[in-house]
Amino acid sequence: MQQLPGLVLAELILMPSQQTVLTIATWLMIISWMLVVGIGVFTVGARVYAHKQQRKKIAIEAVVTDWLMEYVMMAEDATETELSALLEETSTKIKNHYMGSSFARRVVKAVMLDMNRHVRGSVADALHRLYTSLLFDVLALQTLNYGEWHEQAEAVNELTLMQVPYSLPYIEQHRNHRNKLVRLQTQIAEMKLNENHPLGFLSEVKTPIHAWHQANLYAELSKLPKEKIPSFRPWLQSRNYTVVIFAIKMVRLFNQLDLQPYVLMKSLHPHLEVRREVWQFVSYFHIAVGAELIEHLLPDAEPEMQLVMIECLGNLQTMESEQLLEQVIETDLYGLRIEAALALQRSGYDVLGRWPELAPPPPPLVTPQPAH
Amino acid sequence: MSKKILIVEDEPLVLKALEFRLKKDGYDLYVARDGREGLQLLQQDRYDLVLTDLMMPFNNGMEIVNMAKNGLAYKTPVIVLSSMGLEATVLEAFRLGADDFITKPFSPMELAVRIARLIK
Amino acid sequence: MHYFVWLFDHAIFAFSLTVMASYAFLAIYAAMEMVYYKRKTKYIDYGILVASPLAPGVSLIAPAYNEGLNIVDNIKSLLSLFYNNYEVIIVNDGSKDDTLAKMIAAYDLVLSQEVVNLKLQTKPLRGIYRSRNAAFRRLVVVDKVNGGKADALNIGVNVSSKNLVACIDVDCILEQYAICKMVKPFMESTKPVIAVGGVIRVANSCEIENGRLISTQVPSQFFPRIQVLEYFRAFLMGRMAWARMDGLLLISGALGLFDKQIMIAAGGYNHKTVGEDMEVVVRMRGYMLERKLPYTVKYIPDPLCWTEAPVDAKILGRQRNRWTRGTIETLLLHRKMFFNPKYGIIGMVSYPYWFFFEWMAPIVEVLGMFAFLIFGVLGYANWPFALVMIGLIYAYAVMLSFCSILYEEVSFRQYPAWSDLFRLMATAFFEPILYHPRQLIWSIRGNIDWSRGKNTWGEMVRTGLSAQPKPTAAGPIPNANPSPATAATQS
Repeated sequence: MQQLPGLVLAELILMPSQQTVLTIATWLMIISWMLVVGIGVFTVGARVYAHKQQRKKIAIEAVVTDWLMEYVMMAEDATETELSALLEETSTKIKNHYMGSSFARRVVKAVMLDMNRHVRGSVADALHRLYTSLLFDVLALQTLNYGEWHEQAEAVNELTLMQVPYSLPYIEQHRNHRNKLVRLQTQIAEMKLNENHPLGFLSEVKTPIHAWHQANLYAELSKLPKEKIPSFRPWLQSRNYTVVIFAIKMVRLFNQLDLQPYVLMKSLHPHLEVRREVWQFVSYFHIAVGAELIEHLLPDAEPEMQLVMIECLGNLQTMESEQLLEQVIETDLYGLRIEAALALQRSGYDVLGRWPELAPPPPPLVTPQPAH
Repeated sequence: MSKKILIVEDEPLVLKALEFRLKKDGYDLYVARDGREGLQLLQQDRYDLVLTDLMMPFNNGMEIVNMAKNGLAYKTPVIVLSSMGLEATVLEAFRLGADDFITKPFSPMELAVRIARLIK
Repeated sequence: MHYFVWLFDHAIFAFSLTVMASYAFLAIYAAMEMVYYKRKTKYIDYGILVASPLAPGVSLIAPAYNEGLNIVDNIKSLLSLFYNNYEVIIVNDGSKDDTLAKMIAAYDLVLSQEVVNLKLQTKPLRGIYRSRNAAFRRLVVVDKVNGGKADALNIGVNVSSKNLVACIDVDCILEQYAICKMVKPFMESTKPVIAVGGVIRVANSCEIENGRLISTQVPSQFFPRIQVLEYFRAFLMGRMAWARMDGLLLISGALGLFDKQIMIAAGGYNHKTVGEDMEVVVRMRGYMLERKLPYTVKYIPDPLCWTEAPVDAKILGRQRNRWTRGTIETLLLHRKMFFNPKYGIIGMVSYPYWFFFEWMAPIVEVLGMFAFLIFGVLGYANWPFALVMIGLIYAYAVMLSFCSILYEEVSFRQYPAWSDLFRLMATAFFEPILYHPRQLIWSIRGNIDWSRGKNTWGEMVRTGLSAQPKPTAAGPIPNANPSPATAATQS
């Protein structure tokens, strides 16, 4: 038989014989059963393994936690020389017992990071010193260079939490990393490790800083002492519109009211999200000129923006804003009557008292009787 | 006689840190691992000080503060130790009568000093 | 005649292979997505969102119909989630019991006269209640004339004052960080997110206290235990894979978070179908695609929402009957998407998948069995082939269940006891024999009911029946349950 393999295949697919079908089906069945057994065994094995690891972890944790606690509590009121001796002693103890396997190292590190989450002050400093003396920082920097994205992000996170300032130049290289988690961690690291310009990275960043980033950055910023928060003025002019949004938010949350004119100028920014943020700002501080500005800008704004402005007017609670809203309700300007009424209502105005026709239609007089 | 402190805290590591630190100062420690247990212990015995977390299973730490300050025949000094540092939360705790509010992450030394000041 | 039998056998074989191949693909794809998700969220601190002034506002909308028994506790647990910027809107859908009175008494509610933006058409509003007690400032109760679940959700959307709306069941138990986890995709996606779906787990036999889950256990009854497996397959394999392809068509009615503006623009929930949870997602996607707007739908595999699953066959049957009708109605309402390249993945993959494997598969299966019986009576049956096919399909079904058990084991491991693991594995063997035939019957009945025109809430209301099946005292509302996207269909 001199048939081409392609033809054989085509025949097999288009009109397989009864026998072929039977054979394929039988084989598939056998494979499925083998998979059932395989997956079953693997599942049980995975659980056995996880339990074993868990037990090991608990055992290590118990010992290491005690050692660490003893160390940091002693270190709290120790002199520099005493501290060095203590550090030496503890790190030797851990190195001898637990730095051999990568699993044990991970557990030790996890305990340290967890402790670090709860404490600050001299206790935290003692912890950071131990971290470096166990050479975890070197390991983290290696991971940062050679790891996958999730390992890189984790390494940066670790170096940040453990306050390793010399790692900053290595971390900074990943400022515009293609993965957003790595970017986020890098930015947080720059903020926490860069003593002089905690927000310097904002001038460099090319990628968008989305809302989740912003919330994270703010959470870290709010932990810094007030005097370390710089003026956000330079970033209000950023070419990256997400940086502008972030800057406006921060101006609001850190009460940098002297920047108000610069923020208001952004009400003409080409990007809608930026303008939305401006009106949030105006609402938040009840900026009186806001009403006047809105009166000018309302006619030319997109429908979406008009809605935002109406909402903003409701928050302003000035004479002008109230009058403007009343006008919108009376004339149903841009079809925003209901929205204006809602905005006015939120400021405590008795809207239904003045325009009773705005009340939701009453239910029919005959309501369905309960079924028996 | 050593002073008795009730600690209501669900985070094992924080608990451990508190134990290490406060035992060093010679206090007698009583531990509840959730809000419900905390309320029970508080009703059973009299303590010189209560140290409580806010976000815990079963009962909110605010209820512990309320019980220690307004629910019993005597008043016990209360320190709140929480990661919820929001202004509204702090205000609420103080309104219920809390004597001090410490936000996490905390400095154990600072905590010890604040405790010593309240217990005397 | 032999030729017919031959053709029949081959058709059956080809169809089975296609179904199996697609499930295998979904399983592998889901595994990839799970690994990615786990890596992404390894050390995420959701705590930063809880008190953040930058957290977006969320309205939880929960329709309540004759829930008097548990409503007060349910609301209490909804009010104690870890999140700051949210409100809870309970829509009393014309309950015939004391639901409203109980809420008013327990939460010190008073009628509030206010303007409401009636963007979505609904049955008339009877009143909006808010609490006088500042501790319950997040609670809004809406009283309305009965109109079914979709109608109740629509009025909730109208009343909502936040930009994200979460549609949930009032009796489900939400994990404390549920809102944080659901909100995160909205905050971090580069494309605008229009909806985020969550996972439903079976709460039967679990220990629950004050609306909070204490410990988890595999249900002791047979039907709920089967549903645990079904939900594993649907949520950990099916939806996970669809989410990765951005082809998710169904977000369970028990937990979904939506962009309010888009939902309103797309027209809100459709009260003419019993599958309103699926229909709304399909329509919102259609709305975005027709306008060529960039968008995406996300999915969170964490176990966020626990709900009581139907225990007895009758209620479960009614639920499946309704899911079948809901699927058919949704597919027919949006039939223009069928193999329409304009709708991308949705038109070319998701829709056809649902059409062939969710709607058609049970029908093909039953028809195939009938045909085989006839052949058998006439003496034409190919017995070895039939036996091997049955063996293959059985083995494959068990394999898929095992696969989903493995996914659960390595991802979330919600059932720590060994006995639970083995019971689930045993259930996987019994399911195709003891449960699947019933499932087929329910699905066929759904098809029959649909073809008889029992397809709209509207008609049912007009004939004086209550719009929603009456819930039993302690049990769930059957229609409030989610529909897993993929139940191991055997053909």
